[in-house]
Amino acid sequence: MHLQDFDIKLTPLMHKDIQTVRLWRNSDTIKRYALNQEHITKEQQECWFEALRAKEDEYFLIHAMNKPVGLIWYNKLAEIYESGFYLYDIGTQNSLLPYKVVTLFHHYLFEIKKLKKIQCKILHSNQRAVRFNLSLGFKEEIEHERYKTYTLNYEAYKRANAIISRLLTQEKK
Amino acid sequence: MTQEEFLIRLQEEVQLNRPLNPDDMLSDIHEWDSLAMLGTLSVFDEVGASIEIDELEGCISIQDILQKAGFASSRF
Repeated sequence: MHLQDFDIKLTPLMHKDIQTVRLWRNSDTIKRYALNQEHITKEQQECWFEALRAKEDEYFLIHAMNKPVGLIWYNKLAEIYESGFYLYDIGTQNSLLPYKVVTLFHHYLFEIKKLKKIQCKILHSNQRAVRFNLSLGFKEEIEHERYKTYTLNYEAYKRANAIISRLLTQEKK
Repeated sequence: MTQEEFLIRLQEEVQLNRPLNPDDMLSDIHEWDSLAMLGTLSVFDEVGASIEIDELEGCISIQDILQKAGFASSRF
């Protein structure tokens, strides 16, 4: 399933793209904010992608400006769904693209897949991501040594999304 | 809202601990990120002005934002 809105598109991650994604993930820019900061080999990436077939997890390439610029996903854990994303293209980082991407993806998770609650984990060192996720309606949940868990339920999503969507779609007067 | 009041609201949204100056370049403001940009949209909304996302992303200075909000290009 392709997801599209604003000027962005999310397409399911295909095998042909997994090594590009691995290079992104292994870059210092992305890896320093990942919970698992170990280098990922080609073989590990192949095994990971093969294992996805048996899981409910979904990974999407983020396309903007007619090129892939990042990755967004959710994983099904034992009792909750966990989401995450990153933008590799530096030109997209100080823009409103993160809000467009997450608005589109959260619509998919909450309105199409009908999830009631999702969570994310953010390293304490990534305060920019903390502020961003709090603005999306996430609430602090459990503090761990290196990271904190944040959760977003449907009601909080709807409240934050109403404001964000209106700002992102307001027409020029 | 005056230009000075607009700058104060912008400073709050950007979460900057110093006053904003029209001459400030956005690339020099460490706090200028997607959250600050969304906050800027909300300040435009408050003053009854609007700006398209492409226009905001094309701004390179606080002066550019002031002009988009309809304030004259005069400096303090």
